[in-house]
Order: sequence, then C-alpha cells, then structure tokens
Amino acid sequence: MANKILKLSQATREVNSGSNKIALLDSIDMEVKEGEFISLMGPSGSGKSTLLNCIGMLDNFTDGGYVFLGEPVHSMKERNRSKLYKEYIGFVFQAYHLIDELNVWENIETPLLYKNVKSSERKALVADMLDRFNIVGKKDLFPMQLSGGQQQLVGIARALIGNPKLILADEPTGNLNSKQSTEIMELFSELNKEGVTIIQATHSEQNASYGSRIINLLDGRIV
Amino acid sequence: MIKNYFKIAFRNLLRNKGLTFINLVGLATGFAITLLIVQYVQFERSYENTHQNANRIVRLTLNYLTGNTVTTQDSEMYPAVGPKLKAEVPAVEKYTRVYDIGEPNSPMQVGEQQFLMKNLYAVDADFFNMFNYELLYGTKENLFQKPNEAVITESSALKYFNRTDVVGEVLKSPGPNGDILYNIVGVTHDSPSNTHLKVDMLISYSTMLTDAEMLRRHGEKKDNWNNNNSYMYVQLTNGADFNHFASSLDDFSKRLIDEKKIKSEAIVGQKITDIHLYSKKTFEPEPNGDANSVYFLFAVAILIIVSAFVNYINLTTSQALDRAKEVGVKKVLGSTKSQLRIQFLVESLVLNILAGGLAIVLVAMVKSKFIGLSGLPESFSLFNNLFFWLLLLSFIVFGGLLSGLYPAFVLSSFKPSTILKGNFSHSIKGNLLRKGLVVFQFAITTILLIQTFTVNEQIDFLRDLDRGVNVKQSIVVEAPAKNAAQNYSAFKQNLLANSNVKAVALSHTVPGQPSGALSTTADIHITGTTPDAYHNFYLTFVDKDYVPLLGVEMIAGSNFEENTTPQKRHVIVNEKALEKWNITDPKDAINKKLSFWGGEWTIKGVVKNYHQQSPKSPMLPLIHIFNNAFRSLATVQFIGGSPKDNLKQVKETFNTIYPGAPFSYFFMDQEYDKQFKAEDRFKNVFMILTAFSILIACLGLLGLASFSVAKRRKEIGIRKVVGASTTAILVLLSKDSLKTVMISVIISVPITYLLLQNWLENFAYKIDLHIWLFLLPVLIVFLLVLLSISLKTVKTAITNPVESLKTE
Repeated sequence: MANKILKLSQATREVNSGSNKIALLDSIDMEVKEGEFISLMGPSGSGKSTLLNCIGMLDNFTDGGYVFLGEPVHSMKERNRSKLYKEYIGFVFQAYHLIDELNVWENIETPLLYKNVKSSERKALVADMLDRFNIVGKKDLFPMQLSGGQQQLVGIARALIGNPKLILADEPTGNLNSKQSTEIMELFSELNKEGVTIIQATHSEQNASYGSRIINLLDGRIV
Repeated sequence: MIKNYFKIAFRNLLRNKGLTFINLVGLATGFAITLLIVQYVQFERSYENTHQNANRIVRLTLNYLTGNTVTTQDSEMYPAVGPKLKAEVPAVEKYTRVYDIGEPNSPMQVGEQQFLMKNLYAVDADFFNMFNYELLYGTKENLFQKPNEAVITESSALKYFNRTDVVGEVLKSPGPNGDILYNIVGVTHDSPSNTHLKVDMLISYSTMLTDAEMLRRHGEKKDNWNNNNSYMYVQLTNGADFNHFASSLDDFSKRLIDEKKIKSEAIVGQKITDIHLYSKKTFEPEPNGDANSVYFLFAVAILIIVSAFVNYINLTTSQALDRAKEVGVKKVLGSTKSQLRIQFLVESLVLNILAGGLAIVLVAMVKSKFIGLSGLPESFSLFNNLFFWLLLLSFIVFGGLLSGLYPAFVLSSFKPSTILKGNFSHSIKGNLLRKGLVVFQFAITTILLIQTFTVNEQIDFLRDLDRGVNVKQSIVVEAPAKNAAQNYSAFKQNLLANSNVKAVALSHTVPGQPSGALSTTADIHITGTTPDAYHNFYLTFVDKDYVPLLGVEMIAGSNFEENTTPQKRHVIVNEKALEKWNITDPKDAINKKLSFWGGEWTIKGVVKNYHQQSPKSPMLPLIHIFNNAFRSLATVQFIGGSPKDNLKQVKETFNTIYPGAPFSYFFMDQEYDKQFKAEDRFKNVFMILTAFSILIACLGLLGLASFSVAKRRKEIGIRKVVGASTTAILVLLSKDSLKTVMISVIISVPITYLLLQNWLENFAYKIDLHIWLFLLPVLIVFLLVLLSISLKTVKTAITNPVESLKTE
C-alpha cells in the first residue's frame, strides 16, 4: 500500500472581484498517493493552474483542508509552508522560466543554493543531473542558446535536483512541437516509474494518457 | 491633436500618482534650491556694481613684513600716503581717505535725545566723485571743503529728525572738551546692501585735523606716517592698467622705506570689486564673504539640478515596461514615432511646469529662512528679479525638453511586434549610464554628509574649548556721551551695593568683540633691546577689576595696585607677547620697561593666554594698559540671577546715574558667541544642501531600483519558486544598489578627507579627523539607501511568484 502524499477536503479558493466573490476552485476533494501520475484536464479557466499553485503552496486555499505528508498545510505558518515545499515539491512551467542571466549549470544549481547545500555536494548533484539528462555538453550555454525542448529539459532537471517527492507541471509541453513533446512526456513517464509522483495540467488527451489517473475540472469543480 | 496630447499627459500623470509625486518633489526641490542659491551667488558677486567707477577704484592696504614674509595684512593705511601717491604716480587720478569714526558707536545728540551712530566716516571731497552717492538734498558744489560738514543718509535722517530734507540741521556729538557740531549739508540715499563700505553719515575729512574735541578723541595728524587708522581709496585714470599700477606701488613702497617714512611694510593695491569675496585683512569695515564657499555652493546647486533631471530620466525610463504596451498598441494603430515622441515630451513639459509652480511655492515658503541663513540683506527681493523668472522658465523649458527627449526616444523606439507578443524584456543598454549617474549623485551626497559631520564637530569643539576666560553672566554697558567718567564711581558703588553683583570693571573692549576694537601697534619692544622682527601687538585699556572679573590666570607679578593711576603707565601682558620679546620665564618680565607710543611702560604682571578672539584664530599678543576712566565699556558681572532681572537692575542704575543717556548694552557671552556666526551659517547651509542632496539622490536610487526590480520580476518569481526566502530576495535586490553606492563611497572618502584637511587649516585649534567621522555618515548613507530602495524591493520580494510567472 503506497503512502498518501496529499489530501484535499472541500478545498476552496475564492477571489474578490468587485463586490462579488468568485470561486476559482469549489469544494475540491482529492487524494494523491505516492507514485501516482495524475493529469488535470479541462478547458482554459477551469482552475487547473490555480489548483496546481495551491497544491504547490504558492497560493492558498481560502477554505477547506489540505494535508501534505501528514501535515496540515491549511493551518500552517508561511515560513513552515515554504520550508515544506522547498523540501518536497518541484515545479515545471510551460514557459520553462529559466533565469536568462544564468547558464544551464547555474540554473540547475539554484535550488540547492537556497537549501544551503555545500559547494562540493552541489557540484556532484548538478553533474549527476546533467549526466542523467545527457546535457553535459550544454552546461555552459545560456537559456537563449537552447531550443525549447532543451530548455524544458533544464527546467525539469532543476525541478528534480532537490530530490522532490512531488513534481507539479503546468502545461509542460505547451510551448513545444510534437516531437519535443513526446520526448518530455517519455521523460516524465520514466521519472514516474522511478518513483516520483507527478501532477500535470494539460489540454492534450495524448499527454494525459501518459498518466495513471485523469482528473477533469470545469469551472473550479471536479467533474 | 494637441488637446489629445495634453489630455493623455494629464491622465498618465494622474494614473501613476506615486511616480508623479516623486518626480514632482524631486524636480521642484531641485528647482527651488538652485534658484535660491543662484540668487545668492549672484548677489555675492554683485558687490560694488552700483559704483560706476568700481573697476577703476583701488583700495590701498598695508602688509607687515618680517624679512620677506607677510605677517599681517591690514586694510587700513597711513593717511599721508594719499597725497604723496597722487603727486608721484601719474596713474592715480583721485584719492580719498576714509577714517572710521564710529568705533563701534559714536554718540550723537539732537535736542535732548541721544543716539549712537554706527557707520560714521570722515572722507575727502573726492569720495563723492569716486563712489556713487548722489545728493537728494544739498549740492555737490564746494562739498566738504570746510570742516564739520556732514552728509547723512535718508534713513539716518528719518531716524534722527523724522524727515529727510534736513539740510541746515545740526547734529551734536557731546564730549568733555565741548561738543563736535556737524552741519548737515546734504542728504544721500542709503548705501546699497552690496557694498563693502556701508555708511550712515559722512563728514568732511578736515574735521579730523581742526575740531578740538575730534583731535582729543582721535589725535589725527596732518602728515601722519605713524598710525594707519584710515582706509584709502584711489581712482585710476581711465585706461590705466591695474597690474602696472601694482608694480608702481612696489616701487613707491621701496621709496618710502628709503625715505624712512615706513619700515618693514609694503603698500598693496586691491581692486574694490575683489574686496567682498577675496579680502581677509584685519580691520575690514565689515566681515567679508568667501569666494570659495560661494563657488562651492554654486557647484553643488548645479549638481543638484542635474541630479533632479537625471532622476526624472531614470524614473521615466524605468516605467518603460508599463508604457510599452501603450506604445505598441499606438504604433499598430498607425502612430508615427515622432507623434509618440511629442506625446512623451508634452508629458515631460507638463510635469516640469507643475514642478516649476511647486518650486515657486517652496521658494516663497523658505525665502525668509533662507535670507536669514545665507546672510542676504533682509530687503533682498527674489520675486522682483527678472533673472529669477528667466532662470525658472529656462529650467522648465530646457529641463522639460532635455529630460523628456531621452525617455521619448527610448520609449518610442520599442518594436510593436516584440512588445505585443508579450515576452518583452529590457536591454541592459543605458544601464551603465544610469549607474554612473547614481554613483556621481551619491559621491556628492557622501561628501556633503561627511563634511556636515566634521563641520559640526569642529564648531562644537571650538565652543567647548577652554577659553581661559569667563564670559558668563556679564552685562556690558557702553559709556554714555556725557559725564561718563565723572559719575562712574557712583554707578559702580550703586551696582556693587547689590549682593548679587560680583564685580564691575572697565575696559576699552571685551573678549569676543571684533579684533578691530583692539588697538594695534607694531613697534613695541623691551627698552634697550632691538626687535628681531616686526610683530603686531594688540592693546586694550582696562582697570584693575578687569583681569579678576574675566577670571584670567595671573602667572607672574600681580594685578594693578589699588592706587595706580594712568600716569604711572602700568601694563599687564600675556604669554604670547613675551614670546615675541623672547622672554621664556614670565618672572623675568616683571618690572621690565616697554617702549612704545613715545613713552615707557612698566610690566606689572603676566597673564596666561586667553581667547580674546574666537578660538578659531590664534592667540594674540595682548597688552593691557591701565586706565580707570569710563570711556568705552563697563562690565557688570553677576552671581546667579536671571539675565532679565540682572539686565533690569543694570538699566535702572544706569538711568538713575546717567539720566537721558541711551542705554546700550550686550551680554558678553552672546557677543562672544557671535564669532561663530560665519561657521554656524556655513553649517546650516551645508545641512540644508546635504538634506536636499540626500533626498534627490535617494529618489534617483529608488528610480534605478524600480527599474532593475521591474526587469527582474520574472527572475525573482523563479527564484522564489525554487526556494528562495524573502530575505534572500531582498539581499539579492539590495546588493546591486549597495555595490553602486559603495563605489561612490570609495570615490568620495579620500576627496572629502582632502577637502576637510584644507578647511581645518583655517582654524588655529582643530579636531583630529577621527575615523568615525567618516564611518558614521557612510553608515547613514547605506541605511538611507536601503530604506529608500526598500520601498520597491520589499514589495517585489513578498509578491507571490504566481503573479509574476503568469503566462496568459
């Protein structure tokens, strides 16, 4: 029996728009077990990104419960929350979001800097990661010098460097052509087999098919 | 279309209220401070410009020499030099002697009313042909050919007679040997505030040589080569070259030495237009300005206005990200580049016009304060000055255009295709320029701040210095014109009858009064010795109560004896005077004889050096001559009591003993403190400039910070997502600004060190430049930097990365 990574109960996210309250997410109940590969699907504005942000603790639910690895996130202080996600969660974005001023090596290294990992250990970890993704030759290049697929590869490497339990990917292939797309999805699938839990938001049925479970969202509700 | 430009300009300014506010405050304070300082500089440079012949008038001054080195520069001259020079040097067209009679005040009487007159000078008739004093009443014909003639200024006439047409009236200066009568033959306008020689009344020079009472008071002689108590101005012939005249003065001095008229002295010419800003001689008619401070202020003002414009450019271009979309849309809709440029220029002009209006309000608010601080005359008018408005207009127009052009070109050149695609990022181009400008601003700010600290420290140091003299709780009363000496003992006994009066003493001058109130004589030596050098000695007349009253320490001999008379010619000297005579042991000096003024004087005592003058100047060699007649000042020292009650007590006693006489007094400690006025003023102006410079520089840095923060929005978002804490982000964002400021500090500290070393040279007693005098202001600069950029960085650092990483 795999361990439970997170559990949402009646999780709601509301925003004020003028005098009206709009629920971006409405009473979501959801459980994710270790080793799952979940695809969130739904049209634009259905709340996929908001759900990912809230799960990733970049955003907060306004109501309901959120338990992550047995810890009640909803009643946690900001500081502990950031400690938690720093430790266990990695992000992958549609627009890659690499730091333009840093080269590949430095981009991948950044999360370790904020975890106060020692220099020698950082070197070893980054070298491992480059090796694993076959981008050793590109380590001195800057994001502008890479293709979209390569940039996303670096983005995933960066998300993985901290050895997270959960990867959150928001349309990871949205900016890529189909060949690059397939490569990235193959990679996710491989990582999942190695034990990494993944939640991805996607429009594409094909991408969703890599996952073990599909959750459909519409107007902030699970359908 | 034009209406549209203005409409959009106003809406944009209103929409970005914070930015508009920062821009307005920065520009308006920059305008205001520059306007004020430029006016001040213009005034300081305008001295003597009301005198048509000013560039031909030269003041003759006297340098005292020891060998070839100049020991003292005196602004007063032997009166006999004028006629001799005119006879011997063809370039001299006219001359006038100007004898300072009011020292500091001259008693005057109109009917039964008594007054003290300040700026009273005896001048030759040519004075009116050299300086522009037109007669409102009376005629210049045969003016001042006879003794006892007087020309009075309008406001003095009003003060004494309550009207201006006073020709034919007589002013009386009462004295023990009869009165001096001044027949008013003319009324002239008041002296302009921008002349070094301000007059209340002028009298004919021949009065000095003929009037019995005047002769008793001043003892001026016709062919006087012994006492240089008179200013001397000469007017050169039209077209005469000043340098040529200066060299003929050198020859003239040499001839005078050969003729044994003078010894170890040189006569030096000085253009009167140079006096106010450059002359620092002894016995100046009024304290002069200082060219260095004036030009320094001017330079700072220029830097401040440039900084203000630089800030505007920085802040506007930093908003480029927000404006880019507008530019893109407009271009797609068919706007040309030049139309966009006009739009940005109009915005810049509107903002500058608003800033100009705000600047006028600011100037009006601080005007009186500024006039007080800078020492400008109270009547100084800012707003009636056409130049003021022209300058403001040029700030608005040129400033608006120049500072508007750069943003206009940068913003209008954005390519719509890139902007509208959404992944628009800034070029780093121009960043270096911006950083350079900020480095420059902060270098100036740091220099000013460090200087402010040191100036403060030095002035406090001077104030707290042990002066060796007690100036506290003493009221000094000026001698009345009539029966001062006769009734003095009654006055003194009356005062001493009060238990809270500690002592009453007489003196010619008191500590803290200008050195001009002391007499000077150069040729004083121990009888039987020949002086090795030519030194200036300072003399004052005191009674036996004076030295104990001041609490000055007696280190050899004793105070004047109880029954001493002026005829016994007893003196008390200080250590500094002994140095000049090469006497090392003060005891050796007692009962030695001094030769000067054609007589012999006995040294009865030696006192420790005390600061007769402000501690910023070196100790003077002092000779206190015994005299117990109330001619000048009486000092009343109290034990406790409030200054108000004490003053009332002295005033009542004075009015009982000297009925009808004007009661003129001052508190000795206040008078002493006045010597710090120039430093206080310097300090105050410095602090204000520093404050404004800091304000403007911080605004500039805020602009730069907001620019770089806007540029790094995405990067910060990413860093937060991968685990950076708010603190880590703050450090990251502040590091750049701090590095920039660090460069400024590294540049400015050595410069300031040199500037301050130089400034401290002006003081005989000075502080050491401690390291904390530099560290503390630098620390403050860094704190201010962090504080001002925190307005932007904190907000960015706590922003949820979800916001900055949104792609749709």
